[in-house]
Amino acid sequence: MRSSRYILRASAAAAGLFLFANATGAGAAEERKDLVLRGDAKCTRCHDESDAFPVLAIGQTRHGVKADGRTPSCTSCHGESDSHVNKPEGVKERPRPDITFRGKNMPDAHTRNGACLTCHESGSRTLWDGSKHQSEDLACSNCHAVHAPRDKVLAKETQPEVCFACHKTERSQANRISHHPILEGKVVCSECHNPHGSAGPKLLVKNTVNETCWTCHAEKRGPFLWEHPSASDDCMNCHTPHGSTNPPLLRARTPWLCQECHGDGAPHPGNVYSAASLPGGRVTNINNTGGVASGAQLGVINPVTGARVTQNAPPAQMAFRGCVNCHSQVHGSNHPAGNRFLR
Amino acid sequence: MRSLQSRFTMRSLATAVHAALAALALGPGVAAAEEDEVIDLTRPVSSVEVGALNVSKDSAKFGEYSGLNEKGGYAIGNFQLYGRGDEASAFRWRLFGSNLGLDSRSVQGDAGNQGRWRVTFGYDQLPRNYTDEYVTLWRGGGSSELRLPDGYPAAATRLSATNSAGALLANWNNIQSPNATATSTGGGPAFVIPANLERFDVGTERKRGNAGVSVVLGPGWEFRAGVKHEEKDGTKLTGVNIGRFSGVSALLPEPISSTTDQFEAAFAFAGKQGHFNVGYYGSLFRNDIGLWTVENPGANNAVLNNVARLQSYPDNQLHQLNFSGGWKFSPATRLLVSGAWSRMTQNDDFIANPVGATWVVPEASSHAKVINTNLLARVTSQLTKDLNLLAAVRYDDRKNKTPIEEFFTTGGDTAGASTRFENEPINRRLQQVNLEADYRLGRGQGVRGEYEWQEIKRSSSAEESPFRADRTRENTLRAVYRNSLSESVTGRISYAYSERRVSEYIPGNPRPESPPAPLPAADPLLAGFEQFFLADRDRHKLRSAVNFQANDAVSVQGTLDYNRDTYPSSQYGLKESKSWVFGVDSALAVNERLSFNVFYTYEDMKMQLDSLAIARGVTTTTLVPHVSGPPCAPYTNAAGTLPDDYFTDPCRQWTESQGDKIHTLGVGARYRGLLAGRLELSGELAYSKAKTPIAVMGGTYYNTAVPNSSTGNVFVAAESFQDITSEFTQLRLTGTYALDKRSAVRVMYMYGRLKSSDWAYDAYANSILGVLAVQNYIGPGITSPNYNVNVIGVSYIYRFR
Repeated sequence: MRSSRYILRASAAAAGLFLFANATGAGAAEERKDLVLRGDAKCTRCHDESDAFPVLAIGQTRHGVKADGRTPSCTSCHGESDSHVNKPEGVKERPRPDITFRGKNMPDAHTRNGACLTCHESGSRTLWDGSKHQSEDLACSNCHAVHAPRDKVLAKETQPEVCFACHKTERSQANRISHHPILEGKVVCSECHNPHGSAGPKLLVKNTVNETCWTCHAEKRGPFLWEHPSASDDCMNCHTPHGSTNPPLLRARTPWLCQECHGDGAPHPGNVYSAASLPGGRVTNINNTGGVASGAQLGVINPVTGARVTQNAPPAQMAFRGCVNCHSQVHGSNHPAGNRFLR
Repeated sequence: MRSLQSRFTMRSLATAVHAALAALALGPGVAAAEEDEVIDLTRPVSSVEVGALNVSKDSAKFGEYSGLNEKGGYAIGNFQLYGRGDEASAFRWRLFGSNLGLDSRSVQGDAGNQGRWRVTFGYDQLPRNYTDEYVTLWRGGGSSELRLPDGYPAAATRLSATNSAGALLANWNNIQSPNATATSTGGGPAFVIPANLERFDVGTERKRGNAGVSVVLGPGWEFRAGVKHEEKDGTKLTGVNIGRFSGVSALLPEPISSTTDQFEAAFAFAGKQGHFNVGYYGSLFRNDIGLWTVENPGANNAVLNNVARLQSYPDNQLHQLNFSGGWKFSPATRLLVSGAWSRMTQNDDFIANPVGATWVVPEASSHAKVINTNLLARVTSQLTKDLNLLAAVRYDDRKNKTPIEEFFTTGGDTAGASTRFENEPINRRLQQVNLEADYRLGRGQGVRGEYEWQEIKRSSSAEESPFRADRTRENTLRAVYRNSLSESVTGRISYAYSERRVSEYIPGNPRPESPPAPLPAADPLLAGFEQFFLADRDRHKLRSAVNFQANDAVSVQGTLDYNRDTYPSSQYGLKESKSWVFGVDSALAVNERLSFNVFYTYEDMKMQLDSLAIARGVTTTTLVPHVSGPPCAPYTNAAGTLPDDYFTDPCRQWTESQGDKIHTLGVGARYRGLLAGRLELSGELAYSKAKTPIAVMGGTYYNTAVPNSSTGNVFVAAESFQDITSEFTQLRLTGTYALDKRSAVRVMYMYGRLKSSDWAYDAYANSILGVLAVQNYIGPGITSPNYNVNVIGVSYIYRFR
């Protein structure tokens, strides 16, 4: 981390160079040496590392590679800003540059974005126009820090905090007991979303929800011999991506999640599953006085509990993973006998 | 802030004067030295961090994704390295490494001559430590062959089973009874399951390598290509049913060993009038695990050859051609298009028929194939300075071309006659139209109106479709208002209403004509029940946000969202889902050195599901007329029958509602420049408290198994569950002390705490029957995760240019 004293010293040195150049008569403005970008002398004669917006650090970024003929000058993004450079007489406060990206009195997002899209319109920005973020008036500078040596939104460890500045519900979800490793820095927002616009819903990187999920979960892509209609339809029918109280990232608890589609059958899909059927509940103990119907096992005692063995033991649909305890192949099956997703 | 700035300016000015004077005195040599410093400021700082940390306790959940799952010491290793060619060169390279001492290590790098070519490369590991509590009866975890422990009674000596609900309760198929140690009739197979469970750590690890290249072919032209290779190994818990419903089931460690390769290549052009991108994307999934088997602990011959045979996910491929582009008709009007054509195939060999089975499998593999076509076209136009219009059409088509075949198989590897099944390849077509108009009312103030029409058609190429509604249409209207109330206060609010309607929902079976009511079919369906994703739906969405930026140092944001879905045509099924979310964020910079940020979010969600328990006929012998309605009197019925009102009896109706009530709090603080600028402190606290209440109302009848009694079927009211809870706290404190300009020492302390309860695991693991608490199911012994872990680390950081 650069100390402020060091920064001041360097910037003062830069300014000193400027004064020295003037003092020796060799420093006409047009002859000042650029420090970082082509033509930046116009700006760096005043702006340096001690400024509220350090400018020299841009030299550490890809924008600061002068040998690449495509890289910009300060005025490429901020405009010629003549009135800012040469403060008009009689004006109390120096006018701001033509285009600014922070603080008050910024131009609208369209103007600010124009500065970037002049060069960055293609590639992953192809579908920016009309995209969700564009229509919500977001500017590139809302997320990107062009002058920073390492742009937060481009670094895996720090990208979520940039996105969460607006997407607060998703931030809360990422803190739940079942979550993608977002806060751990292993899966980041841009692995699933293209914030610059996409062909898919919700700015997803692929054309559909399922296609996006399959980039990491390719085993669930199939196509399978036996398809589970809700799974091939849309992963979000059952899952929620950012975090859930229902592992694994389910949007509701099983068996009731399954019963939203399979609640109308018998014998077990339409059953009522309640706490009465937990161990020791009223349903579980409903026949513990009767034991079995007849035969040698009448009144069999469980050697562990000392209680009679009961017929209405807790249903497996209510324990552990619910229906998936047995119907585990819910994403589809290629087993010849997998039509009920038991195999 | 301003006063600070002016102080800085004064000091800078003074230094500048000194520098100028010094430069005058000392001449060009000093000027050159100062220039070197400026050059330094424009070059990135490399750093290397090495150290060690200690974790106080084992916890798979704490180290679920980080790799800090075991107690003990770990190495700290992070680096950021930068390099470049000479001053006139555009060659740059970067290499970043993080968590090198953990199983979550990552190394990413790139190099290139900017404006000409660039290569990227990386390696990343992602652990998933699922649980360290799991116990199992089976041996060979991690392999494809799970077998019973030594000493387990041979299949031939186990009791034969009568696989029906009325079977002898003490035979093997009531999993409670194997606690018995006698081999006498009804005593079980002389094996005590709980005493023979072994612990097995369940988890997976992904290792991914990636490489890419981009080349600028000429002005505006670029070629990009990339490849990712991922290996995934380990185990995951999979529910395995052996011998169907009267057999034995368990959560078992399924072996994982697979690779996924992804390839991308694209040509791109960007010109003044337009730009386009034409590319290919391929994804190949290969699974080293095909067949995996589980020895059957149940009664002899309940399962063919005493082994359950499972097939892991089959190999599959996706190949896609895609394009996207944009064209400017005028400075104000643009066309954007995107499209893709994908071919997904899967042709893995079926597993062989089990020996002795009556299966008939028509082909060696399924020849599964799906063709996806995706198109998007969007026109945007700025009609006037203040009016923007958008029109878009979208088309997504999934055409399943898998051959339709007849299969004769048995489920759960059971013996007996096979049943005929036919696969039902599923098709889906989505068409969508969007129209939007955005009008700026003044500076910082505007309105937008949006309309969306969407139609989804679902079908099957087979004779029978699994969908009970083949078409849904949804119309959505959305209005947005945004306003900058002042220089400091901005806000926006939006409301959307969607109405989804279904073409025709095929109802469940009509109530059978009676009297007497026949035994319901194997899977009777309930009239009035509608599957949620095919049902009529009304949707309301409200979004609102206010942002107050007092100055550069203080900001506050507040948000309030509301969602409500209702299903007006569904008598049964999902009836309603609603939620609201409140959030507030604030940032405060006390001065240039000390800053705070804090956020709080509260989410309240609730959904309601209604249904009716149909049940099947029971085998009692005395017929007593059924009287429905409160107080839901007990009854008996004739063998093989149910009361003739079993489709409408209100005593069989039930309602389940579940929700989430979640508080999330985050606090961060940073203090720089302590101890003469050498020390920086930072702290982060994340806290989340979640509660999931599940209420169940209504009830149904249960058979008491008491013969010849008027109380054969008694009504039992449903009961609500204890709340599922989780309370998560993570505190992280970091102090970095600069030893000199280049080096520093960092001390890190982290405290993690999770306290959770979940009856879906706890109620069984903690019951007196432990892993045998569920009939016919050997439980995994897992409880809801809890941990209390301290981590402390010390590292040395060296920085250089």
